[in-house]
Amino acid sequence: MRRTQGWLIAGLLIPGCGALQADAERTGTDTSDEASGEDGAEESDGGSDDADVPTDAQCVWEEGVPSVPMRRLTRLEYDNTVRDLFGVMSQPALAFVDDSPAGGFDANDIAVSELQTRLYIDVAEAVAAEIVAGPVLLSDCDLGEVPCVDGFVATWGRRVFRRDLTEVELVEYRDFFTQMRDEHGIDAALEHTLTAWLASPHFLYLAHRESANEPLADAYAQASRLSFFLWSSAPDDALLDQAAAGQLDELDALEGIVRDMLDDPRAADTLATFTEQWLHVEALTTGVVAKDAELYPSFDPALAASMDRELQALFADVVLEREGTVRELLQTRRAWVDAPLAALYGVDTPAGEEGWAELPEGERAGILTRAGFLTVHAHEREGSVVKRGVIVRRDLLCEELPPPPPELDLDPAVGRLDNPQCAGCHVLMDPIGEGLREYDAIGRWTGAPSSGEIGGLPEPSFDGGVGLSEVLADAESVQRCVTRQLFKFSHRRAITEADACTLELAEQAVIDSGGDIREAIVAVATSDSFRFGLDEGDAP
Amino acid sequence: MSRFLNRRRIIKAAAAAPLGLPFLAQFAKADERPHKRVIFLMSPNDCMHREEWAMAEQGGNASLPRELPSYLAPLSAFADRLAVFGDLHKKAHNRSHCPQSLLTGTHTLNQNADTNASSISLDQFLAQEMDVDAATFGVRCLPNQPDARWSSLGVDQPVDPIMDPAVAFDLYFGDHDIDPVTLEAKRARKKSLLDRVSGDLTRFQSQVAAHQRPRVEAHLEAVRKIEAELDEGIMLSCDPGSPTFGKHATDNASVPSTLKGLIDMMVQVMACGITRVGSLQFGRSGAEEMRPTWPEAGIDIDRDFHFGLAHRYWDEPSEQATLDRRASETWLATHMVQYLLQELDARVDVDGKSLLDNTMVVWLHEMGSHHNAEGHLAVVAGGSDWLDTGMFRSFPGRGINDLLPAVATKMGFAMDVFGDPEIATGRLPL
Repeated sequence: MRRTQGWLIAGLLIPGCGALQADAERTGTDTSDEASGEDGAEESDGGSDDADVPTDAQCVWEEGVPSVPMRRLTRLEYDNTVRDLFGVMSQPALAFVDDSPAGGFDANDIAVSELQTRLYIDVAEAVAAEIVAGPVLLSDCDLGEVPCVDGFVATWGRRVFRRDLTEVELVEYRDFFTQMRDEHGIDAALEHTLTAWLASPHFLYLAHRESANEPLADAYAQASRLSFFLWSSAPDDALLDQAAAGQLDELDALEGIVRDMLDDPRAADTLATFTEQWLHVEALTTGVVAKDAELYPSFDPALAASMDRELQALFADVVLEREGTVRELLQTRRAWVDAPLAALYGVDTPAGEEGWAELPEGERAGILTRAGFLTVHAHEREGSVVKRGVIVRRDLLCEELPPPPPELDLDPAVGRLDNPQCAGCHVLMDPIGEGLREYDAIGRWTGAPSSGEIGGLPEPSFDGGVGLSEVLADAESVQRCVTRQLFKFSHRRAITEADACTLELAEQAVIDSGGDIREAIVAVATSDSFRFGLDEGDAP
Repeated sequence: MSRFLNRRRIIKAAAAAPLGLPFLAQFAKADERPHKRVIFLMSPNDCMHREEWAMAEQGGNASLPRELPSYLAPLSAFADRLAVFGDLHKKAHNRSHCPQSLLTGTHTLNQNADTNASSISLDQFLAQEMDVDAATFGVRCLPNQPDARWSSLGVDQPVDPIMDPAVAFDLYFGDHDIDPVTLEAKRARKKSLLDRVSGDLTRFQSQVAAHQRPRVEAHLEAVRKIEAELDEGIMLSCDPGSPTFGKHATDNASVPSTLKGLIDMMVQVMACGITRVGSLQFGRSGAEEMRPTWPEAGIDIDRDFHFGLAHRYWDEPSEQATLDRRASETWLATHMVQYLLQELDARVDVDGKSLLDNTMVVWLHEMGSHHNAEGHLAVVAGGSDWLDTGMFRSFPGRGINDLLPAVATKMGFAMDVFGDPEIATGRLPL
């Protein structure tokens, strides 16, 4: 018992929990007796105060600006970039090593492995060959002439490197192209130059180059940050031009650009991948999710993929096409379904192969009641009280849950909530999952009695998924958490104490807007942290 | 994937070959002396109940019978070339799920099962000492997270395994059938390309934050290594053939063919003298995404390896749970271990012995027989003239990390401890 208490207290005091606890106190989402008085001091240090919420420029970081760590493109970003720049649709990055996560989202912030280095080079060769054989016009002048070569290098080099090439680089790549052309011909020169660009760190890495000594380095770096955050792809010529013209330096202009980018169809990819990773439902398409075949004969990879598409479409629809609020995300009964998914939900099959449908009232409300979410957070044969409780606590409310203590010697006859070694944490999650018992292991509604409780909220008791979604729909804690998730996604790292001020500003903007997720995106994208963050951190 | 990869390690030999002669016929054998080789295998989850494999009481020894106990039965034909160790503990990170500490003999970073290894793993250590590249393979080691990587180059440096047999083939043998003139032209172009990439990396490295420079350096080193391979090349001592692999898929149905393909490639790179150190990891920790529903491979149990089979066997013991578990693990033993041993035994090495005679296969499990860190089974297979085979030995309380220096010593690198000396008690007899 003594050991349990020590572990539990340690869990509540682990770095990050303190700040989160402070948020919870302000918003009334947590009533734990363990809350520490130190948190207020941390907030003050960060410059945030309820009585005097600072404006963006008032965030002062005494120990250096927040970090936007160097990372390599994710597989999605690589594929989207070669698609948007060159029309390559073959998704070549599927051959790459799986992305590695940071802060809960794909980041590739670790050192590249030898295998991946080989893949970068060999995939670049294949992509370059595909580009040269494809329809994109790489040059409309005579590449036997120097000015034409210079134009090709400057124009396409800028697109691939997402910045102007330096004088040195222009000369180096002109010489490289010329050498290849003279030895192997123009097509080979195009192919090899493109290969070199695609295998270059200036293409593969997103980094603040602190010794770049280029007048527009920061502006172009900001354009890349924006485009990979909002489009999961490289900046286009227009955005690079806006960066070069200094428009990203002006907050008002920047905000307009961000809103325009959100209106662009490319934003859908970002929202889709954010949703998948935030809710941990990417497993639906990797073959990881398995269900008991006797109990769930209808569950197969095709149905899992349909579930995944539904979740992606739902988030993008709410944010890009609808009201865009957290409430709507947790309340809407619109669903993008195909025939098998329509059957699971008990609604009519859409006219085309896929389409929007209205799910049954009283059974479904918002993203937490969707089949994909419920399927991933379930066991093979039944729904999982623990998994569903964990995901709500951790990813909807942004509360840290310590890992279970190692090597417990448990008496299986004693329930988790009755065992002091387990109850400290499970009391936070199991009652939430109990309220989702009405959905089986593939998210079918069974109508089973499902009374749940979500401690820390003003109205903790609820019935079923619809009730849970209603309890959460207007909770400030959820609005803050969505903002935090977007912050982590934009910065591709975990939250630190140095982010308190930035987060408070962004979260307040979302709360003031009534929980508008677009405002969260705009607030993060226009934050000082995102715009001016450097690459701080310990050596790997 | 398509054949993107071309690891041109045979360039030098190709360039030296007189034109007009069959390419591979020009290769002398790389070395007439037999080399010792080592291959590490990992099974996910536990090694089942002790009675499924133990052949003596705790602390006892016994000669291996001709018919091995149920779990090891598929290996009975190799009984005289096996050394079986029982009842070892995993002291390096004393936690059930944590394959990333198996080969390091050290705790993971911060002693956390969710972090990477904190030191070099034995396979990579031996490869460095032998000046070869370790062949690091794995079946569906997804997603890319610490418990899906058991091979490590050092602190927080997990090694990505090759998971597609076609990638392995292209990586090691991609250019073997290209004529020397074409090959030389490709080599020259590739060198120019790599020079260009190295130049960009060098400049980029000087521009990024100081603490990121080691990461760029790792990238640069990898590129330089590929460049060096173009210059050096090695001599193939066999014809790798032209195996055909289906399109790689990570779906469950592809697991048997992928596993077989990776074993084939492991044998091939060993036989051809490409490397002398390899590892093959079957899934990530728990392998819960894998289900042995592979009728064509003779097994059709619609349950996942982790919860459906391993946990059910422990938490809900029943006759069916035992039958299912035994069937799935026997399949794994049959296909992963027995198949590898058979294929190695079928190849003739330069000294006339079989490749298996000159190879040490070290088969470990993620967990011990209690579905935690205790009661591990370890099986070593290989030549009886240099390994102490034919015995079952129980070492209750000894660490599985004590097996690592025994393996290293047999490979010619004598040591008593590999990894953390605080958890080591000297090398086991092998």
